[in-house]
Amino acid sequence: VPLSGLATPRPRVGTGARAAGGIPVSRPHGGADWARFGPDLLAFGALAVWAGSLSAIDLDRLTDIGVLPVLPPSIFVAVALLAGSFALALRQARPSPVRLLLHVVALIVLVQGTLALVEGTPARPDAWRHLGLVEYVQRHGSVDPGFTAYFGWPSFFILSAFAFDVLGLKDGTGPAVWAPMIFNLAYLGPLLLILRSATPDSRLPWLGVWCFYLTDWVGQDYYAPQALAYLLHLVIVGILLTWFTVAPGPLAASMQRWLGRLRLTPRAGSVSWAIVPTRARPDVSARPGLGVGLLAVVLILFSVVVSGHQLTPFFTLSSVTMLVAFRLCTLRSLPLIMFVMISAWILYMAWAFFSNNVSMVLGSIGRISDTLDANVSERVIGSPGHILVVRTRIAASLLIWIVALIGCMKRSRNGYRDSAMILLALSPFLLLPLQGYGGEMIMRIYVFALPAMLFFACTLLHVGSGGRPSWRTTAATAIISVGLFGLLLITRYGDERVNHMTVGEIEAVRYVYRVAAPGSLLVAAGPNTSWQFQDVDEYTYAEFGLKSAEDLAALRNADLDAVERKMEAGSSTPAYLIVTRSQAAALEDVAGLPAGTVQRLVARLTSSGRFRALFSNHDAAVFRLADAHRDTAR
Amino acid sequence: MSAPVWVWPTLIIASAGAAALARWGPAEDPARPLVEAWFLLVCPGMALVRLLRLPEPATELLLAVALSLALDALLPGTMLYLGLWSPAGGLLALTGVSLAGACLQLAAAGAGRMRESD
Repeated sequence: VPLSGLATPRPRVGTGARAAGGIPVSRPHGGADWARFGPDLLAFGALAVWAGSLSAIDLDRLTDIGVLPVLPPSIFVAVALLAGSFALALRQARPSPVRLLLHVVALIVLVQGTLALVEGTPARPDAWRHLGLVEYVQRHGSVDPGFTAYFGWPSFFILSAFAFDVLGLKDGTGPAVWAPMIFNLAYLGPLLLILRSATPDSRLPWLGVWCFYLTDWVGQDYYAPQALAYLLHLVIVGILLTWFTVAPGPLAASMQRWLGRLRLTPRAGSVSWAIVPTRARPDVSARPGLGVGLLAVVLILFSVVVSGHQLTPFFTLSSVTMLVAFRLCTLRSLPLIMFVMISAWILYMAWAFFSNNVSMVLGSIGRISDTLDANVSERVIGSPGHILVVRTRIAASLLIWIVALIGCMKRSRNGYRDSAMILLALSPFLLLPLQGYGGEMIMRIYVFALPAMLFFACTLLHVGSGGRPSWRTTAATAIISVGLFGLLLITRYGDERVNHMTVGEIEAVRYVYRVAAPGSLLVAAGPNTSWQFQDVDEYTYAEFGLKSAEDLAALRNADLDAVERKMEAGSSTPAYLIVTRSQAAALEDVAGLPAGTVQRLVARLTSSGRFRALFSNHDAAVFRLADAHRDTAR
Repeated sequence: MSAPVWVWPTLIIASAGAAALARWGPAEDPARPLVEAWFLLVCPGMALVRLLRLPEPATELLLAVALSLALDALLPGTMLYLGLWSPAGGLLALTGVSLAGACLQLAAAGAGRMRESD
């Protein structure tokens, strides 16, 4: 019988009755109505307070630590009410899945929906660039991997182009605004599937997903290929853990003995690896069609992952390989099939990118020190606020990992067997020696390991024995949730001044696309510009880069000659200089340039007579070289 | 508790019809984004996943959405690589998958009833 959830509770003396006996039956009493509906009232109250708080958020006051200073205290009241309500719902004698689901959905709306509602435009310049690639597919009906590396893995853009057309949308701005909330709502199902596979306890999986939305600071759930790929990765892992797990083989037993030597599990060497089914599940071996059908689903999903994102297939391969290597998954040939699929795609469909970047892709293999530098120390730069944000991210990630380790040790001591979760927590780290991924590998590892890490971390609050949480645990759940929310405001939304793309900025870029003839050179006065969202292949682009010391010096000194050189790079083509608020934020927060640098540049551009201001508003300006000066220069 | 076996096939066939009407119908349908989003997100996947006869409706829905997204990417993607890019053609292909799956569900339900009566 295929069994999943390698958690076999070995109840301690004195606690076994409750654990083995299941959930106590609730007794009717005078406070029954309050106990039953109290959480609902608190949750509605939380949403009402949250809705009333939105108008008080002033995004003009964003700072280099992000949204924290601009949120009214009532937002924290809303979160506290919702967290308390969730903790009470979790404490009910028979926790209602519908009630818990509504609480988690409310949390997602509160965390992800707040800025979507207030900002009204897609955050992050990448989201705008992705919209431009979708528009390219719609316009050309093809993808050219030689044009951009994104088109070596184009599934997401093809899906978007197709869906926007079928839905009759003029552009994808609306879906892109709401993408983080939509993706996070979609993650809920597979996260529950994964966590439920690890424990028969009905509360622990809900606590895990609740904490996921309070600790996923990485923010790769915006309108981007990796967000879709992560969703499909979670579903694949969920399917494997639910239907294709088996009793651990000798390797997993060895791992357990090894843990036993570390005194993590008393008498581990002698403890049986007997598995109990966590829930009644269909027997895939009894119905051959079911196993084949589910395997087909896995392969279809994985083919979209392979053709949709460069990195995610390797995380999936790593997880599946670990499960198979430790004989926890019955699909023994799946890693090989996945490896062949990845290789075939790279060799045949993404070769244009790979062949030109072999040294970049393979050059960092084994250079862990460089990867760590690029992923950690080189990111601790910028303004004091930004440095605080980055350090908080590092500390928060380490905290989650350490708490997870303690939780894992505690579970082991109590006789639980969580081999699959341990492997899922560790498998993303296998990619660390292979790639630095532009300084983003560790944060990707964090998010891929997060569900399993949280499973263990949450066991410190609720061990998952099936028993009802104490009042102390209930209070701790609520308090910790509010604390994690506060931390999330810094770790996830600490860069919001940089990521927020205002309507004024978008208007300026739209103006450029309206007036600039195809073939024109568009120059950004800094990184982080919300452009390339239309006719991306019709223009040439240049920018003052974050990693170029020469460019940063030019901006610091408001060097108009350097600006002119950049704009003359297109020789005979007309050039447009775009200056935006979010460029200034990136230069000040991330590059650490003095406040007012971009404003000084704009003042000099305006007063020099060498540039003509074509467009300006509160957040952006567009310049061209003044014709007279341009003629003289030639 | 699972819905009666005819509910999902009927819903899928009706959704496919509504999606086609919203796309090719004579009048501009203000509900088009909702109708098409429902069809694209649920129907192609549910048409196939229901054939697996999973016990939990929530898990069924989860797999249906994931599979629908994958098919929404793969079928138009295949057409694009074959030089046949056409969103209308992609919608037609997904409608075909959905109708075929729904018919198979009805046929399987009919066969099951016949076995029970025997």
